[in-house]
Amino acid sequence: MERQIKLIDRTELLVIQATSFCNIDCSYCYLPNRSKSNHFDLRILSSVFENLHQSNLLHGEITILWHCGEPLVLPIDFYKQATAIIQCCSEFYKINIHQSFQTNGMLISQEFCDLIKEIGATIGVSIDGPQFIHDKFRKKRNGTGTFDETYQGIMLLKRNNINFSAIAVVTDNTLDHPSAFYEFFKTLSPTRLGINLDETSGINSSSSFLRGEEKKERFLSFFKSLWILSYEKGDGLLIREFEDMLYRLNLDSTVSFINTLTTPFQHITVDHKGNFSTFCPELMASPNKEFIFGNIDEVLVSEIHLNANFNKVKNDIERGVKQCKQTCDYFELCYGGTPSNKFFENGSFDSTETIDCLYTKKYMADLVIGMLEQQSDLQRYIN
Amino acid sequence: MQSLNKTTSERITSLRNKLQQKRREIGLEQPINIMAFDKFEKGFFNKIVWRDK
Repeated sequence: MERQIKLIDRTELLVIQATSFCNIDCSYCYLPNRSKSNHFDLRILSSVFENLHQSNLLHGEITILWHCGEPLVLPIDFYKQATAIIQCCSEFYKINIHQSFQTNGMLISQEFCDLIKEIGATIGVSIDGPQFIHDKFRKKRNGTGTFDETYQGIMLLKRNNINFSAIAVVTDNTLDHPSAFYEFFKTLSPTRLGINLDETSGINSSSSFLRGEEKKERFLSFFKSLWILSYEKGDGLLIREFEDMLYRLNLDSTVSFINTLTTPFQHITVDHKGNFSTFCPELMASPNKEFIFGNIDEVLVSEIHLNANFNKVKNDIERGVKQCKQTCDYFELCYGGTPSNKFFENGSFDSTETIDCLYTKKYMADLVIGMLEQQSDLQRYIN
Repeated sequence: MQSLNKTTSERITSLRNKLQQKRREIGLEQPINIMAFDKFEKGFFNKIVWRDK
């Protein structure tokens, strides 16, 4: 008899917008209000935990990710106060709360390093590659590049023996430079490199990735080079896109899979005013604010099923996933994709293929499957 | 070429079977029962589940 497996409803990731402000102005950024000075009122923080507790979504552990704006523009005291509140909540609700920061790295200070070490937080730095790639899009408001300051921030982390992950946004421009890109990150040695495409999302209305054979071939050539450098030459740089695809391929048919981006409450995003959303954090960046389902001080997260707009979004997402399942050969490697990409690219959650899934799921799967099919010994690809 | 005349689904199934076979050969247990994915730092992670036997 097949075992019945029931998911514990709990929030895994709490994305908190410490501020919508960002000290730089990357041309592909999806976030609105990056020039507005504001900050999250820490009095709301305990309300967030009380709300999730009352909603029966706090169990075991949760990660807070300070993101959606540059978190380090706020003074260190903000995070010291936040940490004191988080420790109280951790004890009161008997949960482990892990803190994580996603930052452009430019404002990393010794004080910040000390705090990171003290609280055991993890840190992800956004850096696009060597300077001639990075500075093309990651610019200050005066138009100058940000590489030097980001690199200095990373060096400070390294001097403090703080591990960091890296996220690089790859654009069409990057595809011509796989070796320089790889060697740079190999030397930088993040714990893991995640590669995002510049995507149509939030207020960023275009991507440098379009449909077409020429772009597909360049994309595949770039990632094939990275694969050869990282796996076949055994250099050891962990690239999220390959690791994750290998994980997907290593799952057999008895393994269930949760796509946390299509399942409500797995991710909760709270903006600096206490407004919250769920599913993809990018939905909070919609200019029309239609995916804000309430304010943390006013509505229990678990009660948003009474909200007609939430139900429409949830039902549309479910229909979109169902369509993917019925029509896409790659469904078992993807489980329905990313709702925010569907909405911002296709105009509806109730839709299927996006440019992002075409490149990062379908082409990536074709590449990895093709590379593995050529291997006589698969042992090193078991994870 | 292995991939000739195979659909994508068939290629995925074939590769998965080979990986599972290899896993058994070297005595590795099956992957955990529920995997979840988020697009930030965690990537893949284990989900805790209740099992009703």
